[in-house]
Amino acid sequence: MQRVKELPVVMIREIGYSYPNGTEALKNINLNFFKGELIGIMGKNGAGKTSLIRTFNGLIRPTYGTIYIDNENISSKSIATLSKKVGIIFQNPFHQLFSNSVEEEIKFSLKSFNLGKEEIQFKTDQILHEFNLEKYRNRSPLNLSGGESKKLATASIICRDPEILVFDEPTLGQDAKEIEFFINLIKSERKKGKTIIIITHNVEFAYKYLPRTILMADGQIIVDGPTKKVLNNEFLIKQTSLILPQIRQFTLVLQQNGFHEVEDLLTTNEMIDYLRNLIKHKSSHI
Amino acid sequence: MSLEFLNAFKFMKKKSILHKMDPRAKLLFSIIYTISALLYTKIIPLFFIFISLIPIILIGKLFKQWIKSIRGLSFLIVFIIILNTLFMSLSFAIAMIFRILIMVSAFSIFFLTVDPNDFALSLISMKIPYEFAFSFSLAFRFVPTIATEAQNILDAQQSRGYEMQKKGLINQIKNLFPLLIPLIICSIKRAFNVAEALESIQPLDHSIVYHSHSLLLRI
Repeated sequence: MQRVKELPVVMIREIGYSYPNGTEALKNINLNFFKGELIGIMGKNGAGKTSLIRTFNGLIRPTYGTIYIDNENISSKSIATLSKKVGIIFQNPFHQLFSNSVEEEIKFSLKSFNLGKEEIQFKTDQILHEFNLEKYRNRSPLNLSGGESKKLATASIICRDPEILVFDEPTLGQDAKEIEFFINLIKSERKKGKTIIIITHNVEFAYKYLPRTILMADGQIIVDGPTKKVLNNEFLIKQTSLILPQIRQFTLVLQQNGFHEVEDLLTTNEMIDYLRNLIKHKSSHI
Repeated sequence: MSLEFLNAFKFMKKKSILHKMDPRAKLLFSIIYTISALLYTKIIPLFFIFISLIPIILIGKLFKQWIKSIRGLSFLIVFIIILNTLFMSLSFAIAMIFRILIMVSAFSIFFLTVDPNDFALSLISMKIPYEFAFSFSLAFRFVPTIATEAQNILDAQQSRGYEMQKKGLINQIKNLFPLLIPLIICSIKRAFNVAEALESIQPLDHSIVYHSHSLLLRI
């Protein structure tokens, strides 16, 4: 995906990474992420998705190639510096929660900014309100439910206001209400101009909400394009151990039953319109 | 800083004579080296015991992992030097460093070259009660898992600005809390999950778990 005139926020040029045991996790990756973009990264387990996002804030350094963030080469930047620009929210919230209270947990994330006590308190109150966590302010983070702890882990990164947000499997183990909260959150963060990158196996979620999808296999990018085109491609989906979106599965069943004109229907609304017209057409013939 | 040094205790499949050896022989080897390290308090014998480990490490193709484990001990080494020099003498401090290096290296060789399943089999064949053998092998099996988890915790904390290097001993100790608390909690949770899973398959069927393949006696 190329955009003219605009410089990407993240430029990845020919990077590769091998683990100390010799496993090649990433091979010749080239990518551009633009300001305000919402991107999904998909692929089977072990495809290199998590390794790729770990290179964004220096948790792992590419064996070869270069990453530019805001047009700056990040190879010599520390993780602490990069974490102010790139916020990664990992799968397991219990890997980061340790404070005595929810409030302290947020304050810990703000420590590295050298802010005054009042400003830290103000920002903490603000984020707790935004994430509906005020009622748990004095509760131990370890006594929160799975969904609430994930919310707290997300809040502890978003309070740092990074311009690039990376989520690793944000919908995993979340109920419908929690997923809805997350969708509203990414919408509001996107409005603020944040670049959002989401690793997910949830095809329906990606199909509905993510405009651009990158598919990975064996440490390589096999396709990068508009989600609806990418996820409707049966060949690519098989290669990445994913399943076709329900709408595509439905159109395939219709095609097998003689409704060949449904080939280009990509969204639920298009399908509803088609079926409505079909019913109208049939009933006018009766 | 990375917690990569924990990989020094993670089994890695490699083709070497050391890897092919019977786990019992390697356990005996590690115990003998540990005892011999504890027998001496002078630099020279400890130095020679330490040097004698290096060819074994090279034969096992373990040099890189071993260096990482030694690098990971640097904080402890500084601590030992300061305490022993203050309260004993510099020569005693150096001897103690050799002692700890021998013990860590000997057990590092054992963990790096013994498959957890082979370890359980070898304990059973030594007539150690099944329950103990199973508990030992389970604990052994979780060393690399805990190492991976520790790295994930460090990554998650660094992603929100946590920095490991801080000046002053008290600050450094305080600085370990964001790593240790999640690690302990995750380990306790995992222990409960394992216990529940094991209880759900009670009674443990010895023949299914370990006797399905026999331990090959090698060298």
